[in-house]
Amino acid sequence: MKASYFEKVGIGIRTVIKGMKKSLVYFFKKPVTLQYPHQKKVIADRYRGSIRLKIDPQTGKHKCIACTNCEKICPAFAITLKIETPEGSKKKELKEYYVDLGKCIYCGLCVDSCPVDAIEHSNVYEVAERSKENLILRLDTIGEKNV
Amino acid sequence: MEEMKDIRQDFYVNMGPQHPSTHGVLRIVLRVEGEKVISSETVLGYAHRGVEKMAESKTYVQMMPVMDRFDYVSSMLYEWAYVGAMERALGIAPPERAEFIRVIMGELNRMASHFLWVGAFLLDLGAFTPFLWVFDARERILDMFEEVTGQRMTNNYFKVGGVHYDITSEFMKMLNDFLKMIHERMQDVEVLIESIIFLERVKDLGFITKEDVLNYGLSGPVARGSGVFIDTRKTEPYSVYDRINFEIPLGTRGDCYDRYRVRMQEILQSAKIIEQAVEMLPEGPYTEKAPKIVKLPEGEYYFAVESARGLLGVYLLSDGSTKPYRFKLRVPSFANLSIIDKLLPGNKISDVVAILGSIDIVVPEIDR
Ligand code: SF4
Ligand code: SF4
Repeated sequence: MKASYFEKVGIGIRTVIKGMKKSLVYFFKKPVTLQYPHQKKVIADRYRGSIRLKIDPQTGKHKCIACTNCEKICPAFAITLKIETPEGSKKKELKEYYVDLGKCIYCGLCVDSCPVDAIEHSNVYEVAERSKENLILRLDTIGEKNV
Repeated sequence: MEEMKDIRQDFYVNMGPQHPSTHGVLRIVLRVEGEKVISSETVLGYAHRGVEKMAESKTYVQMMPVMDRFDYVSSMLYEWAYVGAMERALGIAPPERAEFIRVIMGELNRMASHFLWVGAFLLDLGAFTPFLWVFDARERILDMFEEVTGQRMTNNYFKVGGVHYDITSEFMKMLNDFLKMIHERMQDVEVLIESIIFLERVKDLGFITKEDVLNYGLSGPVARGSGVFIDTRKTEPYSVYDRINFEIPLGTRGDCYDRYRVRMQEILQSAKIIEQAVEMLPEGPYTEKAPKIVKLPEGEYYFAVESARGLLGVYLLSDGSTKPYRFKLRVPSFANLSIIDKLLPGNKISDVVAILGSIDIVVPEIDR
């Protein structure tokens, strides 16, 4: 049998009160929202932020051997390497290492492909800039914007 | 009088492409008479990016992060389908531990997707509070993803032969807390939304018959809401699903309410699967040694998984190089959406939102 109109209104009011009771319980719970710039979330260690070259503590330099694996695998073409082969030696040398954070999709494939574990993700996630050029980071010169 | 009628007959309402409840750039042209929909036409293509063509110019590994971007709410299930196809081609079987980690991650992703759906569906119908409650739950899942995969949404976590990283003890702690809280949260949400206001709006609306399910090739909760037993995890078990004990919730009548119920129960079933998977999780390596440069042998490969929306298949045609010759996706949303033009006529405009919401579409995977 179908409920009459007034019965329905009755049921409606009852269910609304039931729902309100539940809402009231939540009202007194601790809020889960963070007030972003003032409060910050604790970022997981593995968080994939902007990439950087690892510094070898022994030599104080990066470990990159200029194999260009990372440049080749990057699906967003965000990495640009400048490589030179000094005269009299066969070994390639890294001259400049650029990553364009405007293109990077933080996928982690470059880190995964590096044979000598020379790059890693930092935990930096606030990378907004006022101009596009500032998003291109040079990673082989230590310091400056390379956090 | 004659003139009036003509004008009324030709009254069109454009729903979308920027309508808030189409969840993406989908356009539905509704022909209406007063409040009633006479006929409808779905227009696609606003989010077309040509990804299937793009896959032909990217290597297999480079395509991995792109897989996340079809369905941003259940991205790892997409990775799974793609990785599964590649593993089938290469004849690599991931280690046990990796399989269980995949099951845990996949089910968490399914839950996250259903949470988002419940929230958005109710938001469309005008209820705001449940949206916040389920998003709190979903946020915890995303936090867990961040802990393990390093990213909240576009995870890029699966790889050929296993997964990228092992799960951590911190993750296990978060997972336990989450599983404890989830049952209570689901009950709360149900109390809140199972009011007569909600029921009156979704019951007896948008019936899909069993024949329609088969004729239109529907899958996922949309098909199961009509009582059709279609679930790749059961009918064609992949990974370790055949060793896990779980049920497939089925609806009986096939209206919007049944589809809602199926999804709500699926969340709890996913929790059950995760509990078992955590218990069965073996020690050992989380990835198999796999070639860094993936080169599939010549041939055709297909792998299907059950995504949050239904049957998801990845088809790869390889010519032996590092790039696929042809890459094709069978996405659930596309097939599920195809029935919408049959469901809408005869309903009120306000019900269009409810019916469309109950189908649960994700536009980026429809227009790819
Ligand atoms: S994280 Fe991905 S997109 Fe960014 S530089 Fe590395 S490979 Fe390229
Ligand atoms: S993959 Fe590693 S070693 Fe090779 S160029 Fe990139 S950073 Fe250098």
